Amino acid sequence: MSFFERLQKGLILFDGAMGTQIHALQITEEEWAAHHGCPEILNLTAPQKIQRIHEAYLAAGADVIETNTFGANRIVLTEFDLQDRVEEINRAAAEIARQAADRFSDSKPRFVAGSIGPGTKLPSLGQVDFDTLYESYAAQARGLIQGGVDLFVIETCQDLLQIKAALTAVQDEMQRAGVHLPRAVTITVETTGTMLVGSDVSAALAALAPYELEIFGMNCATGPEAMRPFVKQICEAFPGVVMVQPNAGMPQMVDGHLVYTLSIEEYVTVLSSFIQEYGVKIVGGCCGTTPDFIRAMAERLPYLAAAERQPIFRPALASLFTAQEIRQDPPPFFVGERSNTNGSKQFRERLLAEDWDAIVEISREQERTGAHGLDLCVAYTGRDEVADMTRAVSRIVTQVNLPIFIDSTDVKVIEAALKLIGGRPVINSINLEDDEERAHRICRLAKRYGAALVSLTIDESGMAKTVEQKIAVAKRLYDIAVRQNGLRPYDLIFDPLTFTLGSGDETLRDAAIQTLEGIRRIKQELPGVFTLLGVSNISFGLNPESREVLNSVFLAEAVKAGLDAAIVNVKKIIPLYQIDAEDIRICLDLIYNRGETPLLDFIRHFEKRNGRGEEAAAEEPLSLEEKVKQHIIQGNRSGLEELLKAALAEHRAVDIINRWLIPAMKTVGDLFGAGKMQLPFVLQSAEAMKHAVGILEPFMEKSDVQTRTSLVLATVRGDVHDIGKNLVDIILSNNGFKVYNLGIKCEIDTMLQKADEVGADAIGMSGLLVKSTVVMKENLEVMRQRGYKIPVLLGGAALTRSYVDQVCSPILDAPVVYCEDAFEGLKVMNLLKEGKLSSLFGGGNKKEKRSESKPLMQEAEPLRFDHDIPVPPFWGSRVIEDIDLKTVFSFLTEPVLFRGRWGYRRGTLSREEYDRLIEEQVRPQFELLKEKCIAEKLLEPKVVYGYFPCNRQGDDVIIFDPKTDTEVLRFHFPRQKKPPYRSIADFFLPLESGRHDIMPMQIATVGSRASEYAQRLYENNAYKDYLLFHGLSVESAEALAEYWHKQIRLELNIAAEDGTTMEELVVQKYRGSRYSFGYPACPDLYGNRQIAQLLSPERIGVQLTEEDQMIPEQTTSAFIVHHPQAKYFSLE
Amino acid sequence: MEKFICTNCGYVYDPAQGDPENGIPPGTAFEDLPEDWICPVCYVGKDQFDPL
Repeated sequence: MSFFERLQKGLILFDGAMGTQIHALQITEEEWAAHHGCPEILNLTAPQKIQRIHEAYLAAGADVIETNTFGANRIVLTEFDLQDRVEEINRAAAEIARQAADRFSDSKPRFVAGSIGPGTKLPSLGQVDFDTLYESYAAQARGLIQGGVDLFVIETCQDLLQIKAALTAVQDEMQRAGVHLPRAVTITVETTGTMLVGSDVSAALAALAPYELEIFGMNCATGPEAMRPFVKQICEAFPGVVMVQPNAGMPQMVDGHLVYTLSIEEYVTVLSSFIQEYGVKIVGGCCGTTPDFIRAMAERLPYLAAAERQPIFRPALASLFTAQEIRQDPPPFFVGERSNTNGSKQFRERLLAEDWDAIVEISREQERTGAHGLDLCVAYTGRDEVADMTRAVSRIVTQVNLPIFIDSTDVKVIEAALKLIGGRPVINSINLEDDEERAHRICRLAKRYGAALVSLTIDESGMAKTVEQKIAVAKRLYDIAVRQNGLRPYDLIFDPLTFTLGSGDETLRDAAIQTLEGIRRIKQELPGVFTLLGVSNISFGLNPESREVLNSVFLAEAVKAGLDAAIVNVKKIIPLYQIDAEDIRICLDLIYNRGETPLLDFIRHFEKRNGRGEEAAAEEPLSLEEKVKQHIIQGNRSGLEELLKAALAEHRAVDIINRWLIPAMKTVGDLFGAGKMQLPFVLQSAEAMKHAVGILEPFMEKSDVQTRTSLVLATVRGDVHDIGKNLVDIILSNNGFKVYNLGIKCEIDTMLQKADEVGADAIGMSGLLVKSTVVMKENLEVMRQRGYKIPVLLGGAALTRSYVDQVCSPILDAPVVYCEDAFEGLKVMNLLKEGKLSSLFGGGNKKEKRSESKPLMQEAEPLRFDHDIPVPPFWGSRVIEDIDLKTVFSFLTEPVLFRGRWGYRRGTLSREEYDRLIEEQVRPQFELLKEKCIAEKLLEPKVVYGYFPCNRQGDDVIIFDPKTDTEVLRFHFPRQKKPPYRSIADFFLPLESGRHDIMPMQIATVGSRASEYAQRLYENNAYKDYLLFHGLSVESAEALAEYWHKQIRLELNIAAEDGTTMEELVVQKYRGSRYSFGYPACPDLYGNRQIAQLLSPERIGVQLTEEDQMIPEQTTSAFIVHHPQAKYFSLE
Repeated sequence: MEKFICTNCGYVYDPAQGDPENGIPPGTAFEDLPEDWICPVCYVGKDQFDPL
């Protein structure tokens, strides 16, 4: 069995420490052979002793043993004067392990992992160059392959560049030897939360993703519990197998010796939880672990099953320190253009002066102004570009936290830069100008070093100007990169070229149209790839004031067309809402070549302009406090850490929170209340707030942690809806309150118990269902009986202020307050904190204006029965699983999604402002999110539906078994207590008619992954993404129901009267009606149980709760009435 | 007079048509609807409506 095969088959146990075991041996002077302290020499001088260590681990139950070669690379062995014996030592070590493993392979297959440690030098810090490191590892890999290892484990990694050197060496040596073995990489995350050189886990994932490792994980360092958040992070993102080899705890100095303090039981418990909670599949031990640890783990493994993982891959670039996703929200990914000898005079002059500090500073400046990546070009005629690139990059990598776009056409320059970059860079760029060979060479470099690649649509005949040319060149480049050189589509960033509209060249009048269309077509025809434009080219030759405006408008148009990234001077991009509408129109005319003389009109329009007044205002220096507040209000996390660290020099962390951050959040609340800020932006602010508090928390003193006013919060019994409650949690938590969020379907006992335990100041109950309003009332009665006098906040879709004031409030001898939204909850909590809650009740309750409106057309038409009874294509039920998500999306009611679920209300905005918000912010997010749901299969539409014979009897509808024609069950439909005294049963043929009617029914879901993914976003504090995804998922379930209802009408041949737009479907422009239980015409949820009995929805992963609600939440059930007069009505 | 849309279901209240089935004559501005008027399609309250 190969290790590839073994990887497919369940959990795998590695061995424990080698070094620790060697330390415990009695090694003679003879065995050290004058290389004292070099454990690897023992492979040659004391092979039996090493073999006994392996055998002890194999006997303990390890599936995989690691060779004694942790330090057996050339650089380390040179320190022991063993540089000429690298291959020999590695080969011997592999053979020793091989023999041991083979001897134990009867009971189960055993494997040998060739251990490759980090060595003693960090390339990112310039302690060793890439080529030397590569050679050092290559010799080691050769020996290990010769000795017969089954896989490589590159472990205890501290520097991403070192990993790349080791991986390329292993790769090359395997190719040379004609073998193909799995590769594992385990990184070591220090107590700081990063690798030794400062890379976080996201940077490691991004930099290593192109290598498509079979195994990735963590080892050594801190002991298992401290690894937990990072193990979780890796399991959520890495597509392959995850491996963890912790130390036996943090090493501690006892009597001058390092001692590992973790007990075997603790070690086994934590590793077991990694397997069961996060889906880790390979475990083992690092420093301090012994065969006893491995034996205990081996005994536990048969009882464990790895959690199923659903890793989410997001294409990203990375600096040495952290990753940056290519898909930004909002788009685009900004690439700073100022570190460029061709574009910036200042940069050119500093380069010529060889002022490297200034070069770094110009690059840092771009980081501060909000760039996501850095374009770096040092080409200058007559200078040594390789030397300049080397000097610039080696400084920038450790001082600027931006992924680098290596801007050069020279293969040697590109490779020199790649050998210095530990993160994930971009090569800028390839084209087909000369011949294909150069493109091939650069593609191979991108593949080898894991870089992304900007691809320009230029071929032998020059720059592609028309859409068709652009597409043709893009497809050729795609073929070379993806099909011939093994790059993946998301490694490619196409630039369909921007030409100036300012030259007056008649042939370029529609150049912008061609470019924008080029973006659209590339995204459409080459799925997965990204696009980029050098935006400023559009306005080349025009005056500076007009350039900024045109660049900004063109950028916005390009983003609408699907642009992912833009090379720009970020400082000079103006948000569209700050640009005068007339300016925008003039720019759009020029871009879209409208009118007779768009260029002339443009120049005339901007002639009169003497700079922008706004810019002067924008450049007025803000105080630190104002800057921090602006970051919170704008929901901008980038740069916040620097600002806060600066603020900490003069202010206490607790003061920054109380005096800057919380007032900023109050402003956010006020803006929301005044209808000037939409919910998603509020959540973005809350994310920034959470981030800021996270930065400040370590600086808080114990005495600073005040007792905070607290709330126990839950969705009530029987209700599974948690978005509203979670929004309350987000807003309150980020405004300084302590929230105990007890989740959904929460019994009153649990809430009260928690409230007692923590001494809560208030209880918050939430629920979406009509039934939940009744549960809240019952809960209050329980509280009164038990003598609770704690304030209660109530909120939920079906709740009204009058119901709370008139029905709920009198029950309890304490304030009971209705909260329309999270901010009203915040207002109430603030009053409570200040002891002024009673002020809410002083002036008497808000009077409800109750009007007795009478229907104008009181006489409903009598029901007729002159229609045909449709004939179904089959009787009974069917499951449909292969439903195209795109079709489902076409049934979305967009205004409901945007305004209702997402909270982008128009409110007090003008129609024009609102349309602009939708087009510029909401729709791009919408398109991106739909694309993501399709690509990552986050929503899985499934339906079970069927047709059943039925008849009315009184207020019941009897359902018959289609085969036996006997009664299966009966739905009871209560009758209105007011005219026209309708019951849904009335729409069906009565039993005494002698012929059956038909009742179609359906259960539609978009799958349980949706709930899990939403939950994960929430737990990761991605509040805005949570709101957007949750909203789309719930609305997609509605869309699926609408879609399937349409299918049923088609199958029954009653679709002739159907409306053609979603607006018409919303108002039931079709024959008949689709009813769901729990709604006003049939409020009893028990009907859900009956539908489930008929349709068996467990076949599509849908379950019923004990309260007859369906889970996952993104599910709808309905029955369909085909009677032409059937429409919605209410029993009440 | 401005039209208003129900953010829960997408129904549009058009003042020119009113909501005769629920006693609202044509020509009634949204602002003049009684406070307890509800969406004729999905039954949520007035506060769930947004200017179109």
